[in-house]
Amino acid sequence: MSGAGPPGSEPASGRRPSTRVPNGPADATQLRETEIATVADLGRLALSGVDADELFSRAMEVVTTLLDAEHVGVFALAPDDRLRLVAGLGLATDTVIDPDADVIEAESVRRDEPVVVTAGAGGVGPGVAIGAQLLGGVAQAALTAIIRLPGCPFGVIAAYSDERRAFTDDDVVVLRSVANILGAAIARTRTEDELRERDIESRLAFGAAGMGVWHWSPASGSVRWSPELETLFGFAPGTFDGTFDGFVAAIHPDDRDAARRTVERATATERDFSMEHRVVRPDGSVRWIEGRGSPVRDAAGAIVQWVGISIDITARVEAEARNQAREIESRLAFAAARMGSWRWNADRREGVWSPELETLVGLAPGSYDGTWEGFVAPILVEDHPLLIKAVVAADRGDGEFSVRYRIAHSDGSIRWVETRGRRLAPGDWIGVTLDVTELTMAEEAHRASEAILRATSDSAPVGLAFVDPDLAFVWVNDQQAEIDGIAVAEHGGRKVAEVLPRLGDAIADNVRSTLASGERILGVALEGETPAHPGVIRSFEHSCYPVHGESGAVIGVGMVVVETTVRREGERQLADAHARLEETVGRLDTLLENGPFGFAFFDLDQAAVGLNERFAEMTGRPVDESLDRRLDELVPGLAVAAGDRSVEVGGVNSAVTGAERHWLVEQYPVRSAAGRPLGMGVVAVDITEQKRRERAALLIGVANAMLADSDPVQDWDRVTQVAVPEFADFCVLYISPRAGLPRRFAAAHVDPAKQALLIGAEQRWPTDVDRIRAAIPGPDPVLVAEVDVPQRVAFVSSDDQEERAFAEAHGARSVILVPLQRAGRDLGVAVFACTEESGRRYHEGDLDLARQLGQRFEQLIENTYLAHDAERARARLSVLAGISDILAVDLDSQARLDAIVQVVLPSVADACAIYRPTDDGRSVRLAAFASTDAEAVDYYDLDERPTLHAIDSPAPPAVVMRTGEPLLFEHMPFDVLASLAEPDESRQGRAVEIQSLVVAPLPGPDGLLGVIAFGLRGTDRHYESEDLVLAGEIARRVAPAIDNALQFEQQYATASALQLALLPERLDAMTGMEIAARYLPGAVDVQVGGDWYDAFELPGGSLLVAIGDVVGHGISAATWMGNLRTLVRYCAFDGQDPATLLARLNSYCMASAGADMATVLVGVIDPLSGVVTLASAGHPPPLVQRVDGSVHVVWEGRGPPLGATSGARFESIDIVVAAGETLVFYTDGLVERRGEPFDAGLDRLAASATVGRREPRTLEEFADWLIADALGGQPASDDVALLLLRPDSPSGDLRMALRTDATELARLRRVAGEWLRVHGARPEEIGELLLAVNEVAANAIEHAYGPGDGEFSVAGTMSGTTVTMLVTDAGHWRERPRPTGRGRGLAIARQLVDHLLIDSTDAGTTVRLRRDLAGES
Amino acid sequence: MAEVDVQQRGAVVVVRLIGEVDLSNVETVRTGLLDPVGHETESLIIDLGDTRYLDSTGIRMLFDVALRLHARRQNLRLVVSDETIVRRVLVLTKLDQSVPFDRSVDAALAACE
Repeated sequence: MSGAGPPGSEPASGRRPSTRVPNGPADATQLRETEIATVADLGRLALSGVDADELFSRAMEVVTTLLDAEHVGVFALAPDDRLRLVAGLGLATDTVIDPDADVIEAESVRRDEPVVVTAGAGGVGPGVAIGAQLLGGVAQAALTAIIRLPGCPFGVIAAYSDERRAFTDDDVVVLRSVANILGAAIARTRTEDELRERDIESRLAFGAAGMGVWHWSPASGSVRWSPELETLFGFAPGTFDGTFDGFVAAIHPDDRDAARRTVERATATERDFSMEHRVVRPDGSVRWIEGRGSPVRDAAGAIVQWVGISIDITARVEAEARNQAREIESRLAFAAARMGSWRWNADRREGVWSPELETLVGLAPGSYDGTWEGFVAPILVEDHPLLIKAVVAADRGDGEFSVRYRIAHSDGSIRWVETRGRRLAPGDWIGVTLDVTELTMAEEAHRASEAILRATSDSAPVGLAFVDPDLAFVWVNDQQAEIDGIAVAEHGGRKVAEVLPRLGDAIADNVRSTLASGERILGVALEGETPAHPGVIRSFEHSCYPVHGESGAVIGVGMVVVETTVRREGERQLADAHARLEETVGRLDTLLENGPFGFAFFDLDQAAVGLNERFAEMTGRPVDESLDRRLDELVPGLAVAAGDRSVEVGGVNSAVTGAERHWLVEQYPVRSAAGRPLGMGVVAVDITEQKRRERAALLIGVANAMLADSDPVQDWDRVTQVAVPEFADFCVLYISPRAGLPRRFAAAHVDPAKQALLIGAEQRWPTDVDRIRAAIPGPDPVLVAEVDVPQRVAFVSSDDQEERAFAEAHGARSVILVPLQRAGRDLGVAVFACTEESGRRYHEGDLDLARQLGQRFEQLIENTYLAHDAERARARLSVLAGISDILAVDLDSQARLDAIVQVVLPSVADACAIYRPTDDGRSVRLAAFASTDAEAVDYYDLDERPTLHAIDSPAPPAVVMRTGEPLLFEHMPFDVLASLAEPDESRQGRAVEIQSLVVAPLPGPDGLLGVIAFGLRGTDRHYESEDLVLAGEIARRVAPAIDNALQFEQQYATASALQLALLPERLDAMTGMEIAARYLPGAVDVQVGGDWYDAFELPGGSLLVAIGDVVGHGISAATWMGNLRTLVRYCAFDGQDPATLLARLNSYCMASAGADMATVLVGVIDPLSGVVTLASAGHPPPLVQRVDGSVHVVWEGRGPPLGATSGARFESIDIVVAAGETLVFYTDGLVERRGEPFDAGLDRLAASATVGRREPRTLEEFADWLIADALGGQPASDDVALLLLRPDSPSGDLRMALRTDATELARLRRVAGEWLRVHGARPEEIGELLLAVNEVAANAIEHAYGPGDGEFSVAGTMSGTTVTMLVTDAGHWRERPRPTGRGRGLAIARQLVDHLLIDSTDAGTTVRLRRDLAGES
Repeated sequence: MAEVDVQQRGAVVVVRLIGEVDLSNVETVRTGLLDPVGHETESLIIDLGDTRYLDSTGIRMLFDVALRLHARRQNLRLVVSDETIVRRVLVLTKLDQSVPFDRSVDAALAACE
């Protein structure tokens, strides 16, 4: 890009908003997991093959959602470099942006990188400069990303925001990810489109070339034909019956046996076959077909079906009007009739002629008399010297001669013949005589006509004719015949003037003029009536060309008659015809030496006795080296036929030059006058070029068919098979490695055994492809026609003698090296090679086919790469998304480690391990391991034996832990692999089979947390440097998660240890009171709470119980909890009642900075009476489970939580928990569930307590039951503390310690009243007893001690229905009745009880009250 | 622990004593009962219907109140519900012989007419 300079180099512009080009790799930031998931969804959508419009619209939705941008546009780069809006959200359509526009979309393209802009901070302004037109709003910020295709940008995606905001690096990454997904999807769609087009092209090519495809399944006998093939055979599409017999029936009757034999032989040998046969179409026409078939094998090597191609040879022949092969065939027939052989013995003056020679000169077979006179009789007298001179020269020289002269045919015509002779022995000559007049003239005239016809349209006839010096037609073409109005055959020997009565004179004049002058006559206008169209005057232009014989004399005239009735067209045709005819005539003189015919004669011993240069050229063996050799020596595979003339197409290569040649060979017997066989004449025509074109068409057709198959190639050997054996004896493909794909090697060899050898050798001695590439200087294929032995071993990379020997024995003799690349990127190298097997050599003409095949290979490789890249991208996204899922789920570090190593299988790794440093830092320990191989998982038994590597060991995890640098082993060296083995000596033999390894550090805030290792088994893939990036990305994503989990667990462990330490180790056994306590930490994803409880005995025998919950979690909560617990103990020992105690605690909390709010429930229990004095600071109400199973919730006595308000007031209440009843203190973890009102949980707990009472349970059992039942079997989500108190059954006494303070009286009445109620006293009895005991207690308070604090106690016992209550003080008070004094109190008391006794001693005074509850007071 | 609710009905003051009366609050209650009684007051009605507990000091306080009012030629009437612990203790201490009891405030007001 032209504008790729640093941002600062941009021309400054005053109103230019701030422009920022984000730098740093895309993965430098960590995307939010939701973003990754959303982008991953988009990636999956793209891979599902959704159409572009839908993908664009979904992509834009993703961008608006994730980037919070109101407008989004996708712009495509047009061929003129302008950006065209192809999809938009909140944008005007039809936007086109000039490439040099000063807007961010164009700027992004120029820089070839994302651009972020935000409107200048100075004011509202016009917004940022963008090319898109927003539908409403002004862009205050925008962000772009380039959409790339392989090798070129596709365009830009841009997001616009109406708000002035800075897009973050995360936003850049998101948009770039979306752009990458779009690019990959578009590239894939394009490739598919191209393949579709190519498929259509190849189908068209099939149709045009008359080519069809068939599939034949030998098992079912069914034959499947492509529609093209049916057309080829003359069937309407779909009407072929699909059987082998049906196929045979369509073949020409004469060819059926041969075709059947060929197929039978092929199926027996299981080898490729090819055959030529005719078909008779339903309409009676006959077509020539070339069929080729190849077996298709399954994995076990069994043949599943045969696939082949049939090509209509006829179609080509007829379509081209004068197919070379057919033409030559007909001309050969002609030639054979016009060629004779002879032998002359000079000593005996005796000669022998073949019947053909007699026919050639116009004699009846057998009429040659064997004399010299007879021999030379047909020769024009003036030409005798030519023959004699040649023979004499040959006799003196090398014994060969060739001479051209004229003969007088018995029909009166003069003909040119060529005689070639060779001396077999002194005086003994043998040779052939060829009528070259007709042959060459017809040939050349024909060529001219063909050329002209090809150049002009058939509708405008150009007549061509050869006229001899007697002005008689020798040969005419169809067009001339049409002009003349008589058949071609009827022209022979007829005079011009006779054939064309009206035009003949003018034509004859021109011909005569040319014959006389030897000059051309061009474009003489003629006009007149033709016999073909009597009465129609037609215009022609007539041209004559002299034709020279070897002697230089003019031997005839070639003439061209062009109809100029349509003048302009005629002129064009004429000019063209002139040019071609001139060229043709110019070549005519050398035709015999350089013409297309090879010619040889073999005697009865099948030894060559004569041949021409052309034949020698074809065999590659000079003429003199060829003599006396057998035909099959000269032409391998071709023997002299025993019978009559036969035609064969040979795929023949000379043993000498190695150049591959294809000939059309004709043999004909040569007989003596008496009919005795003399030998065999052989005429050969080189059809190599034609064959080459056919073969190229076939191979390219097959390669195209492979490309049409859109699936990535699996079997590359089959790809190389395309070139073998038609084009190469073996073909090798080196496919360059690519991220995640190893280098591939594929080979096909004409000999399957050697193919296996070749592949085996490559595995053993991998070829250094760079050496091959070094031999290819540019992008074009390189031909090495002759590979000598040093060259063969040039690519041998090792000093291994065995490898050298292999290369020498099996290397190529001739190679073409084709560099494979696309868009400048190396894809590999294809090697086409010929070996000793065929002896062929490549030459320049083969380069084109090699290049074309190479292009197909490139496309196949590219397709495979694209498919692989898409698969990789998908796997990567899914792994990263999978990691996000894990991180969302669990906080347990081991569970996370296990999930992480599992999630990368099998897309990124076959095995994955996480190593963590040991606590002493001297080793790394395998902490989690997963593998697709179950045996490997068994091998590392993490629970049983730790797998440790010393930190200074060479094991890769230790190395990475030590250095902090990632490690990559593309291919694991064995010693490194061994270092990973489990250290247990007895198990070291079983190393885990990892072939490729990446180890990445797991970065933590304070150094490495450990390392993560990814391994691949097998050899079909291995890691590369690119995978280091992915490994690093995964490591960066999982490391914080592991760190969080570890940190959490550590904190959790600390806090729970602290909390457990702060809770009482055990509760002291109390007289008359059972206690059970439970503490359950919450589930692992919640931090340790501040729940606590305490229970201890106070001086005086009562028991203090407390339970509390510090709001907040973790260590600070646990610490504060400890403080509260201590304070409660302190205050309680100080003798404060619960409400006062809480008030003190609250004051302390309010005064302490950093104190957490807390709820506390405090109770002081008198074990004898079961009276409990309670006060609560915001704590859930305690429960009392009655003996009858009912459950009472104690709502009274609740104040605000500690630390909530200063000056909070608390209230103590008294309840009685009778013998066998249970007091339940708990924290909210037992009842609270998310999304549920507190009361519901309380009801549930009450119900649990009720149900739990139905079966006898010890207090400990009851504690377990309550927790299990109330939590419903679920683990507690929050901490749970539970404290149960149950007064012993035998005791039901009241025991109260009271201060000598009038305020204590109310408490006394509450406690005693409750006690009496529990013990069955009726309300009026309770009232009277309370009144009595209150009077006695008031006396104690008023008179026992005087001013100041004192203590007294109240006790009560039940004996049957009799209540006895004792009020004891340490003072000395006397009954001092006074009228209005306290004597009234005692008097009242006496009236309310059955019995009142005052026992006053020095130690103090005890008043005993007794009343029978059952009786009347 | 105890509250007093005072209503002036012409020359009659009605004080409702709510809660418990014992040694700890008896002086407070006494003040609460006597404060509304001025020179113009002809009668004081103490409503003990909502008095849950009344110990001997409370009774002594009521005797004291009765004596003071008597000295000022002012009448005292007590409203006491039947079948309560308060009535029982008042009967036990024979206060009913010194101070007239009514079963309701209305009955006491009617008696003051």
